[in-house]
Amino acid sequence: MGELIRIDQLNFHYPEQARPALAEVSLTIESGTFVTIVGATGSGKTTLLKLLKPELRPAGEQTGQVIFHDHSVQTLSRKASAQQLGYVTQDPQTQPIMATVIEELAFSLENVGVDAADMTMRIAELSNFLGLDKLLHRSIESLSGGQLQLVNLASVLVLKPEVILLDEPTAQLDPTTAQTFLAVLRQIHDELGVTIILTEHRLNQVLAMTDQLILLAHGRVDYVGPVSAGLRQMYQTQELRPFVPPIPEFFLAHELAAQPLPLTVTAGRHALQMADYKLVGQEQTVPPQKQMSPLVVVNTISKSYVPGETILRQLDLTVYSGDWLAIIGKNGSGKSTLLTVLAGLQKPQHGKIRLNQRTVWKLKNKDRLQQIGYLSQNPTEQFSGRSVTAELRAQATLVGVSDVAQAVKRMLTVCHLTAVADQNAFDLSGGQQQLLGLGLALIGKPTLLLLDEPTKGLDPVTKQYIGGILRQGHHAGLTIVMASHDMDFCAAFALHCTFMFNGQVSQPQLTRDFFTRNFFSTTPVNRLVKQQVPEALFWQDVRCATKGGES
Amino acid sequence: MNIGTVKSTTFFSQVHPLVSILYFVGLFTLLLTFNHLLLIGTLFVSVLLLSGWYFSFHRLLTFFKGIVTLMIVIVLFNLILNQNGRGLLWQWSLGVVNLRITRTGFLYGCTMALSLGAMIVAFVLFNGIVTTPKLSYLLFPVVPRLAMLLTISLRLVSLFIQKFRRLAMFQKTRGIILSEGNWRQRIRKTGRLLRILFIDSVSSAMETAVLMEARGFGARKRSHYQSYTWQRADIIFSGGLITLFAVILMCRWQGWGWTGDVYQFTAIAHTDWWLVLPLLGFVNLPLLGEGMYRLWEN
Repeated sequence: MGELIRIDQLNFHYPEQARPALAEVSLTIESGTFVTIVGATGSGKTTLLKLLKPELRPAGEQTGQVIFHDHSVQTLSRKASAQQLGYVTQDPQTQPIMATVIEELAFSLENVGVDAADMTMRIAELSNFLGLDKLLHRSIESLSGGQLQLVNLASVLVLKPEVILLDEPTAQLDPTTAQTFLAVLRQIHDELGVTIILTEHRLNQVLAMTDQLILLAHGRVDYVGPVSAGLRQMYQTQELRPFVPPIPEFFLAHELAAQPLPLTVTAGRHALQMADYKLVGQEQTVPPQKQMSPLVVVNTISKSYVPGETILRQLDLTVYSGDWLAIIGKNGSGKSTLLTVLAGLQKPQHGKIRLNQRTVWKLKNKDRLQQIGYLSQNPTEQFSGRSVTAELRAQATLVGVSDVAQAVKRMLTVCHLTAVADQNAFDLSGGQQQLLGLGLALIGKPTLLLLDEPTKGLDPVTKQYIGGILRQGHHAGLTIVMASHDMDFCAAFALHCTFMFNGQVSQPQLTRDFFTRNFFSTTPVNRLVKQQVPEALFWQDVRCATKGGES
Repeated sequence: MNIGTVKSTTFFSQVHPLVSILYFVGLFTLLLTFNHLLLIGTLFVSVLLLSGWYFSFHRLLTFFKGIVTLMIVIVLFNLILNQNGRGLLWQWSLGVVNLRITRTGFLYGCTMALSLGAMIVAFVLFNGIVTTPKLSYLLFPVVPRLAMLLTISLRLVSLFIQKFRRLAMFQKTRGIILSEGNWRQRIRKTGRLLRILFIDSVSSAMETAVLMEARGFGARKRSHYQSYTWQRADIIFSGGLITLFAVILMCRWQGWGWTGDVYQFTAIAHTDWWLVLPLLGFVNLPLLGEGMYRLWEN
């Protein structure tokens, strides 16, 4: 392995920003390595990634340089850049430009002038390698998020790049799909020797394949090196501690000696076994079971978009007042459709949904908005394209809040949006947009809050913050129903959980019962210590009693 | 005007795109060349049956309901507006208003309605056969930018429609319900929705543009992936098309199938029957191709 990329004293300053996005960044990336860049939102990791490819360089002032193969990356021709440096973005929907998969793969090759015969060979070879041969003639819009992201990766890989840059490529995918995508990435790295540089928030699967970890904080490089030592440093840094994945966090929090730090459940179990650690469960406080009255009653609803393809199949569900119910399921299982139907945004073909004994779609829109808050998985779909304050003010007026100015001010404070109050809602960061969406849903103080993937694409810090806001609302009497595939978030916050599959939901169970009974859909810590403490979901639920027979 | 793509296993969808274009240019020309009811009727029924065979009659029927309404409206307007025609069929007077329904108006209306109906159905078939990749392949050597634009627009238009549907649903939470209020309110709400859609689309389109550049778009002259080669069947099929088209045009040159003076309009002229067979042959040549294709199966 030789030096491939060298970054020398790189500084980058966005216009009208008080502090630099990147400051004195110097590091070296060797050919064939798998590099993961970790940092909180605003730490500069996306900026760093974009400065590695000339076409992606954002507007701003740059000093220092990025050297690729002994030449400044800025001197790279557009053709050479496309062929040598691939880039895959976070949102799978943004990249595709053609109508079908085969055209999308050909697009990159057509751009660099590859002849038709060579194109056929390359597409045939690649589609067989990635298992895309069955999808070649499918239209782009018919693909799932995971398939689409794989096509995006393939359309970059078809140019045979030396480096692939990926900006949070699994942020929009469910855990199973994300795992499949990362397995393909590992295959590309291991079998083709392609250098991978990616930024990521969900680190539990990525770190096991990482050779070099880069920690960024406030635009500066805090750490560059192997994963194990990097994780220890992350755990020591207040800002980066929430990013430490549950398995290594378990070992660090309990100060269990293991070298290297286990990153997977198997490695973790092995380390516990080797050191003969005896674990016992912490005393659990069971939440008191209150007698709750039904708030929403769903009675045998059926919904399909295309004849013959049923999304909701004679679904029954009762949501009780004061409950916090998490609906867990894969992308495409019908969770979002169920939530939109519960919110009265669309009508099922059969069955009834009653909110406080009134049919939900017969309520007047204003009455419905006063009772139901709804947050879509893409909050921008609920924005009007105005400033943050104007958005909140308009919603408060719409739902008939008595003191609009006061309510807006309160919501700006609760959602940490005061600093960006005058900015356009579309210009906010992903986390801020999610917070604004939540603010819009909560400003009318509804009795029922419906959330569709509230943590999708968020960093762990914002996730915890949103969890805190929801917990406050729940304590004040708000009933919450959320669809999510974020097991850790559901396990940490929900009261009850249910599984959505085959157009129906299972009987809701208490969260701890739900996760400890599950084999696949549970938290990593539960998988790690299941044999000794079956009821444990987080590291806090466990105490280390003895080590190697000592007390 | 699209009800899907014709199955790729059919003979017609496998012929060279240039041959398909040749067929449709000929078909549209013929629809504009004749104005006798018998000939236009023959073309209309043939095109309808041909499309029904390729798309399934059930799919075509749903689409056809809309066309029939349009055709009826055309006939009615012609009946009302052609007041000076010959052959009075019915008359109605109220004060100074005198409404005459004439044979000329009826014949002209039917011809116009059938001609337009046949064109719409033929256009649907055109969309099903000459798909965007084929059109892009044909346009690429002549106008590469237009070919690229056409291809991109296929994805972007569908994305735009998808986004509009989602926005129409989620913006109900912001008080925008397109199905409520009087027409003025509905127009205003649609305008608000389009504004949001525009802002959202512009921001994602800018990102898409950067990602296109990142994959080398604009770096050099583009090559083209889609390639079609001429087969023997293409030559035979286009030979048949050209021969039939030439025969029909020669008949038309003799003045068959066309009446210049609207007042001389008749349902059937004695020479029309000689044209029915070549017209049926031209329109249904793809069906003959399908038959031959199946006969040659191993």
